[in-house]
Amino acid sequence: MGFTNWSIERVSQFRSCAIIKRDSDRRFMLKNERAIRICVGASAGGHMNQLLKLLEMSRNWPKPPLFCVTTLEALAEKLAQLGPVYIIGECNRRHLLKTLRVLMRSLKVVIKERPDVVITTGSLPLAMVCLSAKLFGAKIVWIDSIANIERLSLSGRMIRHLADLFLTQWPELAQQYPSVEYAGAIV
Amino acid sequence: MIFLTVGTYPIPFDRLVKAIDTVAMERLVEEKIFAQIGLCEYQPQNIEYVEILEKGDFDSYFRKATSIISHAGIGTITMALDFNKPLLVMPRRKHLKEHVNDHQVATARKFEELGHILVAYETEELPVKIEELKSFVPRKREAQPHAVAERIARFLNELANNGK
Repeated sequence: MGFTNWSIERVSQFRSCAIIKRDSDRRFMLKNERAIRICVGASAGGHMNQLLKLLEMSRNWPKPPLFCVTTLEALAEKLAQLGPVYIIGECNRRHLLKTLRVLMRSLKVVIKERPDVVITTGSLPLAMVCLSAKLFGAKIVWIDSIANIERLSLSGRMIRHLADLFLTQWPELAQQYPSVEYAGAIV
Repeated sequence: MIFLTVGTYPIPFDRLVKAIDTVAMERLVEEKIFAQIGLCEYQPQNIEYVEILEKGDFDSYFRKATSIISHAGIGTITMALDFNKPLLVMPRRKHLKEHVNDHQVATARKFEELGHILVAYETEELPVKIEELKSFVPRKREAQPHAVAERIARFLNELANNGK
């Protein structure tokens, strides 16, 4: 795992501004004096339920998430305990203009926070976040929603090509697409 | 109390709300029905409703309910399984412009097969299914959230070790 040669000091519990020092690999140190910045995100509803379930199990991640992106104001209060929450609004494939607006908001969030990794359970609004973050060199972890049983979601099929880790929650689906993995179901 | 929710998806699902309002009007259930109708345009006459609840309030209605009726959204389905609540779903349909595709039919069918939920594919089936719901005991679901989190942990560690 190579995780043993890290030492982590947590400066603030919620902002997770940890300082990571590493004995080897100076290059990494220079490029990344700041800690690995994890963005988590999901649309309201089932996507968010899956993300929250996943986060309950995330104690062994090298860093806790730094901030969260979602689509509805109603969720902000509940998520505030995870750190800053950005609301980018809802969109779907039928409304190009709304989708573009969500993309613009996503870009703003990405430019402000500059995440190293985006971890998301979808859907289209979060695909916009992935797209924006990828432009700025972030790695993408996409977990396709458990609701997609017979084929991957449209957003999933789109993001599959730029994702660095793509997980489905149904083993049958992992066999249908190269580079799609099954590691279990979150819910 | 029966809790009716059509999810937070940004397209209305009037068909279900209307059908349940009719069920209430015809007094097919003795219990009170409370609904979160989201973006529905139809305004129920026979049941209490709100457009949207804060997550905390939503959870407490969910907990208080004896059973749940909803669209076949995965959020509601997994939440019902978590809270061990009998759930009856009606899938949103693409041809009725209730969703962008018919994945809710596939979701409903899969979870019905696994014994986790009851499904009414059409509004006509609702009265019979609501009757079944009264004695329905959902099968528990086994999931592996820890395995998924572990896979992501491995990815994050590799990322950190490779110097991004």
